[in-house]
Amino acid sequence: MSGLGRSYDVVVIGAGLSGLAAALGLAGSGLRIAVMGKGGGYLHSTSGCIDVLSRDLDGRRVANPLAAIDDLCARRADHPYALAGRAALDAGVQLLRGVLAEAGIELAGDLSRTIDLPTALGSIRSTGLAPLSMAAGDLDDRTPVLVAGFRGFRDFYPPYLAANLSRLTGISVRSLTLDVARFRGRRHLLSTDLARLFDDPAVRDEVGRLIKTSIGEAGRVGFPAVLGLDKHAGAQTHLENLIGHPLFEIPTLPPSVAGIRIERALRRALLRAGVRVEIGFSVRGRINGHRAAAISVESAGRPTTYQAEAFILATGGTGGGGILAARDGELTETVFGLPVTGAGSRSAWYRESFVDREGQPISLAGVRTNECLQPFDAVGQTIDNVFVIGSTLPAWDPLREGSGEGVALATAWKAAAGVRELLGERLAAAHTVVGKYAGG
Amino acid sequence: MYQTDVLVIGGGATGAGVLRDAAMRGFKTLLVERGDLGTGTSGRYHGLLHSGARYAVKDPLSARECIRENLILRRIAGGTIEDTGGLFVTTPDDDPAYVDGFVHSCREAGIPVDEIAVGEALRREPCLNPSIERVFAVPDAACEPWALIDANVRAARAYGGDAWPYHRVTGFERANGRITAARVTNTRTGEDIVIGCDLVINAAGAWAGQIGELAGAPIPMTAGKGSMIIMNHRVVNTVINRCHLPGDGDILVPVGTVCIIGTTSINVPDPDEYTIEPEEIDLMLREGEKLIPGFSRLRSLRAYAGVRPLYGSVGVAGEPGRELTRAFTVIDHRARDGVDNLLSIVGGKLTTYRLMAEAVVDALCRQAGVERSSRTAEEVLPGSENGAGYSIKDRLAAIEGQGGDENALICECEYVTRSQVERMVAERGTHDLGDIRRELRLGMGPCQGGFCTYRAAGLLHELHHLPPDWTNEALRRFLEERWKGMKPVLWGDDLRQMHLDEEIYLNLLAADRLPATPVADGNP
Repeated sequence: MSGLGRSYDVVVIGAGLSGLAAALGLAGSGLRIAVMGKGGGYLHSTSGCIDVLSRDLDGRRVANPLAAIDDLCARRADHPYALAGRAALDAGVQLLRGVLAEAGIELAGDLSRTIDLPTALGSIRSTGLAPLSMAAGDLDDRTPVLVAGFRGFRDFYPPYLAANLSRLTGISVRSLTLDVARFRGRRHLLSTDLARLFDDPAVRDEVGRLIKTSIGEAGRVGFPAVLGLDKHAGAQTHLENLIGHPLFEIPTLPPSVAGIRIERALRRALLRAGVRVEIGFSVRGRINGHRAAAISVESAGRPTTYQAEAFILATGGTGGGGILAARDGELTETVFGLPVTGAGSRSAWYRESFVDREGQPISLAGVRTNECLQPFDAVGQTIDNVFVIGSTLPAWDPLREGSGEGVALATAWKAAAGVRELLGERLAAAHTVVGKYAGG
Repeated sequence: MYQTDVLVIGGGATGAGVLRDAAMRGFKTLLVERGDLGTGTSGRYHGLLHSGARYAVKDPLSARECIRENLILRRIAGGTIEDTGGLFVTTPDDDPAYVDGFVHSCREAGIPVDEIAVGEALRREPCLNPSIERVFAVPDAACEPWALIDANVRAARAYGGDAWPYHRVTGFERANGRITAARVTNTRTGEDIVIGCDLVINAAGAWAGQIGELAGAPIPMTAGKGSMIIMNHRVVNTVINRCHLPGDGDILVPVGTVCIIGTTSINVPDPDEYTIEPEEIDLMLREGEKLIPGFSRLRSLRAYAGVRPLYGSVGVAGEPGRELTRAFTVIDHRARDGVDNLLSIVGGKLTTYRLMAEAVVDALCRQAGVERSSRTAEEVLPGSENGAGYSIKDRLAAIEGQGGDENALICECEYVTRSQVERMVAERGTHDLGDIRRELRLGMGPCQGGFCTYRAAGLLHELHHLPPDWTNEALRRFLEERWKGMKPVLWGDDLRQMHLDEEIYLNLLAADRLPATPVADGNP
């Protein structure tokens, strides 16, 4: 470690949902916090929903997420939910609801009932909490649907969606592809381009008029999730007033506008709370005995060393870059070089089928921890001031379980609590020492 | 019942060449292929148009055939060939004494071979191992197999020939030692059709033994599996060969935006049942390092394997299969098996497909008692009339100029537009994303279908108005087919691609929870 140094109380490594939530969980406690992310995190490619547990261990759809999580914890003591506990999930969800509400994003649902929503293929996706912008898509509701897309937008196909959805649910679903004058002449229209266009009231006026004339028997209208970026909440209300029926958004291929809205809300809340967020640099760390000593960041010009009392490791798994699975079969945690479980030879990493309900075995790899989420070193000793969260943890598969956001939030909260406890003692001790000298 | 003079079985390069040659010589000719055209060995090779130098020392007959055909194909099929040239390099791992015999054998076979200075070779190919000791330039090239097959079929159609993909031969009707008809099944509709014919040409390649079995004329075939890896970068612009006796992982071919390293050679019991072993991957990456330092750290896109149609039963399953000749054989089953009107064409290489077709159609003329000579070496194939070679730049330039939302990119990696997909689907009536891939290269780039699979499925549905289950099945099959090639080379940062694909198809789109109707070959 060399170069200029900085010092924080807590450094969170990783800027996905779990890292941002952990930093938010500590913000306001008087601690000096930094978040270091190599990339923007995975929120740009998610649905914008908060999945907590959509399928049980046997792959069956869950009806009551909270009850199913209790059942999961009873059967699988090594699952991150079992380590974090239900209370941490409740607190993490509460935290997120509050931060998003400040940004005008309300979450529908209460985790006692799974919400079924349509996908862009017309299949059914189950989730725990949905942004209000998607809530009217609830498939428990039998109201006839009109699905509207836009000519020239290659990431949404209303006829295919409608055909699958009506066949699967029996709900009347019609499709419509709008030819919007303001979108013409654009060869490559991304969801984010459309979202910015929908921030403009004139675009909404045109789209609203077009829908109004073709609404027919439908009582609600499904759109790709592109209805505004910065002015999203107002955009949806404006369109609903024009059309006279509820609207709902359907997640698209990445970039996911609904996910980007959440990421922006969290990042802004962190900045308001005085948390430093730095994106774009890879991080290497060093362990001394039972403690992580410092991390080194490849910043412009030279490496910068960050000292901290505690570190939260939220770098993701083999998908996020937190765990590197090498060709020779070796699995490495990329920041501190912590031991990774879930190895086996390369040929055992994958199943024959891409859509296998059991998931790909490599997804279960992760850094094993104690029940406080503190990892072990190579000889099994606990590293006291590191907390591992989210996809860096082993023994869970967010996709197969439908639990990605829930586990991120629960473990983030649990780690934040662990940090508070650890630093509470240390900070108190430090203040005592300072006081003694000051007084003496 | 459908009636034809000549029935050709097998829609690879050889079968397509036979179809064209026979049609040009005035026979009413029909080709049947169990899958899409070019889905057997022709579509699963490394894309190398051999100069013959690779075989010069060990298999001089094959070498002579290769150089002769190489020069003919450059003339008649230039539009499917990128004239990359080829280099044979002696690395520190190769026996320097091989060079003398190599140069001599090339000259004997008529292969132009020029030694060039190492420095010049490194200027031409800066990624080459700087420790190479000798370099020889030969006229190797890269060849796009599906375009070549398509050109042969189009040429044949102009002479009244026809090709039926997705028609599997299930049996033959025989009378008095002759085949009178073939029974085929349309694998898309399930319809059974009887095709009456005067003569059958078995050009089923690695599957020729199976066809022979059905006709009561067993052929000893060995399926020689060769595995290859597609690398994400075009690290060389010239075909690079190790200057030694043909071995594993010693050819590197630039193809479009990528390059392909090959091959291994392991005999397998069944041409439809094989896996790519991790050891084969590791071996090819290790060998690749000897040609291009750092090779094994490049991104590997996918691995695939083809089965060579080796004639003879000397090969034992599981054993290396480099001992059988790469030259070809025409089998007349009259004397051998008592089947009067069946010819088989076995062995050979893609480079010699035209010569193989000529030889078997010559045998056909002898049987029919007519004297008509082949003109396939003289007449230029459709798409190659202007004499310009295949170049990815031309394809991209043509698309770049088009505006409008109908030209929105459906596949960004390979530059496939919405209007191209619409046109191709309308022309072929296909409902299979694999067919679109082979014709337009959809899903063949760095993301391996991550984004375009969904888009192409959405378009398919809009174009066909079929029940969604058909499209769901096409989507599922394409995802599984891409996965099959990705998983042998998935490690390190490339695992992110898998997670992104999972995120899109299993989370955002919940594609695993769609009802799909399993249909033979994915077509209604």
